[in-house]
Amino acid sequence: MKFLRISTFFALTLSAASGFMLFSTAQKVQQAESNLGRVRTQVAQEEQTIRVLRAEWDYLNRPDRLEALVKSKLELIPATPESVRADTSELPAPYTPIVPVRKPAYSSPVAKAIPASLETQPTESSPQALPKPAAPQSPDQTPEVPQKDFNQMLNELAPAGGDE
Amino acid sequence: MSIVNRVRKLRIRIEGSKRSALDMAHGRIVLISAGFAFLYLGVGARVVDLTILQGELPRMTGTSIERPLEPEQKKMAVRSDITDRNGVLLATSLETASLYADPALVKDPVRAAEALSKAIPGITYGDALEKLQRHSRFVWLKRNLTPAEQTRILELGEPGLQFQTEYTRIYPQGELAAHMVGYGSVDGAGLAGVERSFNDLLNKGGKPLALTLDIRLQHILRRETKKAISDFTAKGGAGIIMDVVTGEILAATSLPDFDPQNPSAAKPQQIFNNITLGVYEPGSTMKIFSTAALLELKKPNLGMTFDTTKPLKAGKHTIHDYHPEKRPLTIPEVFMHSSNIGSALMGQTVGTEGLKNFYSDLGLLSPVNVEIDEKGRPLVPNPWRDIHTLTAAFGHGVSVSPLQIVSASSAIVRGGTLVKPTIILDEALAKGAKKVTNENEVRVVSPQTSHRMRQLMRLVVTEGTAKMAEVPGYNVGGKTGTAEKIVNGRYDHKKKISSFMGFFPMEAPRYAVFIMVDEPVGNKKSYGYATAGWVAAPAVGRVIAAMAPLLGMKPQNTAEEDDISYPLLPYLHDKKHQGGQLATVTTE
Repeated sequence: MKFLRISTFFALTLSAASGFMLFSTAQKVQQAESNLGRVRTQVAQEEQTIRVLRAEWDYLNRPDRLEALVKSKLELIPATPESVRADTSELPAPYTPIVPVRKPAYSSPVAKAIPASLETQPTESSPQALPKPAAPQSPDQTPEVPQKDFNQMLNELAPAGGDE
Repeated sequence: MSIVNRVRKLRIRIEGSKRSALDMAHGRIVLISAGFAFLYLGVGARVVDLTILQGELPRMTGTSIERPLEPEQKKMAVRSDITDRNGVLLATSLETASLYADPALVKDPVRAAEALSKAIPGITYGDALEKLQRHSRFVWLKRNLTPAEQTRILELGEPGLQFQTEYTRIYPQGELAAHMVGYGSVDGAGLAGVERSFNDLLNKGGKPLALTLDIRLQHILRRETKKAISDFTAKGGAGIIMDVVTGEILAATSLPDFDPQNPSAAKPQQIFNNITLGVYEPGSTMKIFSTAALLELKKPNLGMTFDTTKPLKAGKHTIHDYHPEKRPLTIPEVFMHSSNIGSALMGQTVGTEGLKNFYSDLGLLSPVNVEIDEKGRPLVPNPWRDIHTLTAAFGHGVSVSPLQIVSASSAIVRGGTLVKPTIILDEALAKGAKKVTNENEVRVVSPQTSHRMRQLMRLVVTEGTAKMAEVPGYNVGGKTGTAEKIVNGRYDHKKKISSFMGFFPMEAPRYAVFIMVDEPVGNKKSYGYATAGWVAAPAVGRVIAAMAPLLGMKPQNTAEEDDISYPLLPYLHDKKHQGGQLATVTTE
């Protein structure tokens, strides 16, 4: 009996190859399963986090809390039937200054400290050399400084969100 | 050489004494190899099927179907959330960690107990030390830690302290909708409200259960009811906002209320549901139904008068008027001045059988049909004598729950067909689908009577007892009711229940707003009055003023002549000049 026949050699090679493939596939499956397990745990954790955050969001948005916050922090009052107009023509003219219903409880420190560079000095030649109107005690008369802050904030945010 | 000969050549012939045994063995071997060959063929075919037919081929042709890798693992079913109509959470279940110790693993109980008492406010050093020195393998230290507490424990790095995750029911809105949502026990079983009536469904988990409540309206209603209660130093109250068209309860509040997170700390009167479980004599609010019965069954002229000059004597009872007008009153006058004598006479005109059947058709004599279990059975006189017809016509002697008043009077103003109050949001309906039940509606009064009642209820606000409920632009209508409470079997003049059943806009009512205040005491601002016109009507007005802009309703500034109640003015004695003819007077 010839031992090293070509068919024996062929069969051995085939079995070695299939054995290796089986082994590597089994390894891959094991790896994938451990990955899957990890991802599953993560998903479960994220789901749990979402549940907690949703509950927290609704807790923080309780109407009574919002109402108290608006009352103490904002210059807003609830909409009244008088403030709802069925017809836009009934609306007051846009240039009529809207005086806040409540006086601001604090005088904004920004309003006092406008740097001199921001104040536009009227020149003799310019036609706007009119007496400056007295600044009313209302925060919307000092738009420059808050706007600058907001733009700065936007700039800081831009690289983070810009890649999307 | 033929094939047959070749096969014959292959045949091995065995001769001798063991021939039959060897033949048999040979046959078996052939059979077994045939069997194995068949099995391997099957395996081979399956391999081809899986790898090529199902694997490669569809991938190449692009027709492969994404199958779920594995069936979804069976998770522990988390009790479903309960949300309002806009998806705001009313109740949710959150995983919380409960701390237990394995004392055998704690090496230094003194240090661990010290650290524990610092990390968690509720644990004292002595208590922790005693627990950690026990000879057991399991001892609870604290249930339901907050995430911050859990982090602090993890930072201790003590191997003997371990966590078990449990689900706790959280009510983010607190007491805001406590009576409708309900509450549960520590092990998660619903004990009241929707938590109880839908306990099995909620336990299955899955999609959140959406209620018809709107948390913003709920807040407005609760705030204004609470204000009415505190302004008039009352004992309690109830409020309901219902969509008249669909029957959806948009807000329902019962005061005093409780924190559903901790129901064991609440007193019984806080837990008690005034909206559906409590039954009260509604007082003059009931005149909506007796007047509708008169208009529907007797079809009288509105100028028909009732003699209210002197108190009505019926048996040993005497019926008085709260604000006696001491003259014959027309139907609109009886309604807007809320004359008890006039209403009693109306009840008499309708008759015992007629009035009783009418109330029964409106659902006033049986518990209200709504999806929560706490429902009060109305108190109805039994047997119903003729005197009860007189008293029931102005709201005494029959006790019903506030939700019954709302649903019955909604039926009258919405065109005369019954509406079923509901607390569960039907999603198809919310998206604008037509209500299926609309096809087999139950009619209680004709559209004409419904229109008359709308006019009368508007008149109460423009000319009558509820002027303070008016909100310009929204044409509020309604009926006040001030009932005396029964104390030890007698009516107590000092203890009242003031309520107002309001609707708006009155031309085509969309929303019903009801507020009831229990035992209000008059104050300086109300000149000592604690009647519904001073207590409940302004509260309903405030609710409407706040909710209408919120719902984006446009105000209609109607001229006086266009007001729905304007045609009734000629029937009022002091407004005779405005319409000319005072209608023909027909006295019974």
